[in-house]
Amino acid sequence: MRIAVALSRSWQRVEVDPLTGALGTAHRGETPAEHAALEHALRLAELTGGSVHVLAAGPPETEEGLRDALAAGADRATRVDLDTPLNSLAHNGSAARSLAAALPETDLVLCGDRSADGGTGATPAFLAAHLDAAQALGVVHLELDGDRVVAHRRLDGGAREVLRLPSPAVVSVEGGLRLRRAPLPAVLAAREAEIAVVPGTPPDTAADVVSTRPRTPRPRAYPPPSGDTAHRRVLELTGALVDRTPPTVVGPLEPAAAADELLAYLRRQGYRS
Amino acid sequence: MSALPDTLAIVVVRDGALPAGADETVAEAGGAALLTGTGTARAAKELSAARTTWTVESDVVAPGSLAATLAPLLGEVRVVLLPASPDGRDLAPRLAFTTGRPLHAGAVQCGTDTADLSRVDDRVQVRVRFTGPVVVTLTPGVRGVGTPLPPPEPVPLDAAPGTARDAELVEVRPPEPETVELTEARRILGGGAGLVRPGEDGTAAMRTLTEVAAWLGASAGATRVVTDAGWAGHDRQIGTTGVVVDPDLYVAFGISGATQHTGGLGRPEHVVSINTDPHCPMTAMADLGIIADAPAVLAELDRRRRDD
Amino acid sequence: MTEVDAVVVGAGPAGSAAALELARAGRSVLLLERGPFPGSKNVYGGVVYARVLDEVLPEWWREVPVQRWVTRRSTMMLTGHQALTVDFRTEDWGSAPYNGMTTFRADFDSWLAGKAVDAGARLVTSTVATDVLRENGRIVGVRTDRPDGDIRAKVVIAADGVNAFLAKQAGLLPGTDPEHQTLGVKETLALPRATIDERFGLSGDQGADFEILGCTGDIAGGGFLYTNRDTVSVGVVLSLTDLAKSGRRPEDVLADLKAHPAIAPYLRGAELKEYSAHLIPEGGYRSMPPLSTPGMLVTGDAAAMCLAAGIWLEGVNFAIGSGLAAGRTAAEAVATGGGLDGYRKRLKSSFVLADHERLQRAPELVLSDRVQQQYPKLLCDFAQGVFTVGNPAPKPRLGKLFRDTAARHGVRLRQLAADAWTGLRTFG
Ligand SMILES: Cc1cc2nc3c(=O)[nH]c(=O)nc-3n(C[C@H](O)[C@H](O)[C@H](O)COP(=O)(O)OP(=O)(O)OC[C@H]3O[C@@H](n4cnc5c(N)ncnc54)[C@H](O)[C@@H]3O)c2cc1C
Ligand SMILES: Cc1cc2nc3c(=O)[nH]c(=O)nc-3n(C[C@H](O)[C@H](O)[C@H](O)COP(=O)(O)OP(=O)(O)OC[C@H]3O[C@@H](n4cnc5c(N)ncnc54)[C@H](O)[C@@H]3O)c2cc1C
Ligand SMILES: Nc1ncnc2c1ncn2[C@@H]1O[C@H](COP(=O)(O)O)[C@@H](O)[C@H]1O
Repeated sequence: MRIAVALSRSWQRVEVDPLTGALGTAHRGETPAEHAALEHALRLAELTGGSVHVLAAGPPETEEGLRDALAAGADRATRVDLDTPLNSLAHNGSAARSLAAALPETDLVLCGDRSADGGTGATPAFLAAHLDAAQALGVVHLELDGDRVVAHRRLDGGAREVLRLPSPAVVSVEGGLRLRRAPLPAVLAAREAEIAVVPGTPPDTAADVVSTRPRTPRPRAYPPPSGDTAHRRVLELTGALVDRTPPTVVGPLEPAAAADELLAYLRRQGYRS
Repeated sequence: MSALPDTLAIVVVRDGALPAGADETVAEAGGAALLTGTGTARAAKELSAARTTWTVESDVVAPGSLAATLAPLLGEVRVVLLPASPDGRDLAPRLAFTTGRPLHAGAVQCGTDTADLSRVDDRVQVRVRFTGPVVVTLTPGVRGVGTPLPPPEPVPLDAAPGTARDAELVEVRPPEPETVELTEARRILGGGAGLVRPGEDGTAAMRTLTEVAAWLGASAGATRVVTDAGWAGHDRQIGTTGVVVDPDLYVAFGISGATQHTGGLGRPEHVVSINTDPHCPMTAMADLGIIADAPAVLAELDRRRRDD
Repeated sequence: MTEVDAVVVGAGPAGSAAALELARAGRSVLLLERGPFPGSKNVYGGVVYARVLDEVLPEWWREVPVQRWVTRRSTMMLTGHQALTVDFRTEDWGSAPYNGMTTFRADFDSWLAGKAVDAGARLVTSTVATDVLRENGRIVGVRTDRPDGDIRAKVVIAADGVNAFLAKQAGLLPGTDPEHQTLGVKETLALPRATIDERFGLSGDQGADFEILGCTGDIAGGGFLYTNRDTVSVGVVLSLTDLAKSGRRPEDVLADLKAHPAIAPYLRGAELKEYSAHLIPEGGYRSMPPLSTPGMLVTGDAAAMCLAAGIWLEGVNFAIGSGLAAGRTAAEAVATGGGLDGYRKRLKSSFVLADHERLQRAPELVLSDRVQQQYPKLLCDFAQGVFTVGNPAPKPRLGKLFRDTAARHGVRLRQLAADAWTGLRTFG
């Protein structure tokens, strides 16, 4: 089976300034979902005698992640040269276009369920659309049934959809499957390995971003009160009829005091006697 | 047959069941709903925020062919809104691609010419402006719905079934016992990234959380960060892409309160947040915020459980 | 098995400096780091006195990742309700060649490791050295936690920081000695840049470095307060033995410092971003282990090269200095097939051991009860006496006031003179 794995831009973790909402990339981290995608790919390739080709669309730093993937056992690596600035968080789909153009003929494309730099998980679906491939998103379990891949995907309320995939198909997986550890000689070899670089397609229109700021929750609408008199409705709205303690924040507390506080609260609310 | 409006909610229905966030999305679209999938007429009766409902029934729920079916109908619709539920997230990019529109995924608010998108694990909010046609997905749980409206009589639309390569459905499995246990639990203790110190074993932390939860007559749930790391099974993940729960009591250990998490939380009567950050959204929405080190508090509770 | 000229364990300042020298000498060198990137796991206060970088790179200040350049250094002596501060500032430190800088370790360590990589060293991250390999009583390599992870090397450089795991495996250290280690705990607090500028009297990229004495109660130690661009670092360094005796938690000691009336106004409204704790080798010259064994050199914190005595916290510069020396010694040994004995001599002729030798009494003095407890109280009370206007009583005579204050605190003037003399010999 010819398998491709899409690894997102340099596996970078985005930092948000809590005061201004400005973005930075101070910390690098790994995305469990993409590691899981790679591990699935390596296992499927072993089972079917196939090959694994890893791709990433991003600036040269992205190659670090590709080299890690080669060390873990991927056969080939391609970087699509595309430097989307961090602050273009708003748009979706430009990576997919570039990746689709660079993809060799494949049976299965494995992606993470969302990228490390704060994505929304739309890239795999766009990829499927570009490739005219079937898709299975949010997959928590993959298995082989003969020569076909069967994917278990999340649905609402904890249900699972079991899908048998045609070729080609794009699958995005959640994390949970740990990536194998690369042997030291492979790590060293991967540093010298060749990574193909192909030009990317920059997005033709950027989203019109008005502002970027730290998140503030939006007020929620609730059904109106049902009381039969205006007076009761007001009481209901203000919560005056419910015996409710006003929201409190206590601390910083030591663990023992914090446990006391929690257990006392549970007792007050009748969860413990 | 009435023309479709400027702003329209598209809701994917399975076997007559509405997905999470259906009513909110319809409300955000001003009451105009198009239901597609299987059992749409039945599902239409369950909507509480619709003023007008159209239906496009299909044989199967598959994103490629649904997009191909719906695309020709959407010419006059400028803003297409879908809930960011599993099926909505599946269909939205395909619709955007097929109709050549930009996709603004993961919105927390959508107006007629701007949308607020939540990004970077819900830590920033980006406002975008649009003039042309767009597809937007709305995160469930962000807005709530007001006065319920009586469901209007649905108007079936004639649509030629489109085709595209889709996966073949083997079966839909009902939720696993663990998931059911969680959806029905009246009390839940939730574990987040803050419950596990860097470099420590999260699986052990989640096991302790489960034991302490049992001691308090509760079940243990987790955030996506925890399930992604493999510290707890996917059945334990609470949120818009996990299990939607509705407990009376929710105690959050080291959880920041991202909308994708709280969107699956229902409306618990009592919420406690144990977090080192007094300003995180979880603590802001809690009845009791305890500023403390969550792993240490859990260890202390575990000690008391053993002594009990 | 992987074979190289040299393997350096730990990509902290010491390890990167060693790898850089080896690579520059044309040797094949592997630099192992257990974290996902250099600096990812490293805790420190925040100020680097980086003049040693002159040996690494001309005009390093043009590219080093800096938060602020220190132009203000203060030493504060606190009692529960008083503070006496010696405050020094100079514009000279605000331009090249600079004196000290605040910087984040993730940035600084990555930058320095990058220099080694540019010179030809191979950095391998997320890899832990788990043991040394021995042959005929000689160390010939290290084992790592990766599959197929043994590395054979002509020289091993242990730059793995304060726990000195490799030196212990090699039998150079008997075991951890809590007497010679202190615990550093630190919080990083966010404040808007303009607020920091205003409160600390700074502008542009100027920074402040406060060392604090008398803020740790019964526990020997000291405190610090540094400014970054839009955060401040505040922390305490505590004697492990005293800490255990006192039964207090390090967070509490830090909380007390933050609440002190002389410190609290600097931090008002700041938001906690990060809390961290780490051990520091404190012993100085007298507790240094043997620095080499056949096939292996020990450098940086692993060799207790850190200068940490209450109000000093200089480790990064010593780590770089000793790392450079280790790298040069190793490169020479590989080239000539000779031994590693030149290492100590090299260190002695540089500031690294020279400073340590001269300051060898400093930890003892600074951590003595008198300097920790009595003198801050004495000086603060004396200052209060001097500055209190006691009308209608006449102003006291200073000599008498000092003698009286000293007597009240049970300080014998002879002891004071002796300490002053030690201090002079040590620092003078
Ligand atoms: C498409 C999509 C779907 C998603 N679906 C889901 C979903 O279904 N469910 C879900 O949960 N998430 C989901 N997410 C992820 C979600 O956006 C957040 O990333 C996630 O919920 C954050 O989990 P967390 O609160 O555990 O971690 P973080 O956001 O990292 O928060 C950790 C918290 O712990 C606190 N903390 C740190 N140390 C301590 C300590 N020692 N003691 C106490 N507190 C401490 C911190 O202050 C912080 O508040 C989804 C994301 C996307 C993009
Ligand atoms: C609270 C505190 C405040 C301080 N403040 C200052 C200050 O303001 N200024 C200053 O100059 N100094 C300060 N220091 C001291 C300074 O941090 C150290 O002296 C300096 O970091 C020593 O450098 P190093 O390279 O020897 O060790 P480290 O910086 O500790 O580096 C060791 C490296 O080795 C890696 N490692 C460890 N074991 C292994 C292994 N088995 N395999 C692979 N890799 C391994 C580690 O991950 C690490 O990256 C402070 C220390 C503390 C604790
Ligand atoms: N720039 C990129 N290069 C390679 N793969 C990507 C890129 N962006 C996203 N992906 C893949 O698409 C998945 C979902 O990303 P996103 O849609 O950004 O959340 C990621 O986990 C990757 O597998």
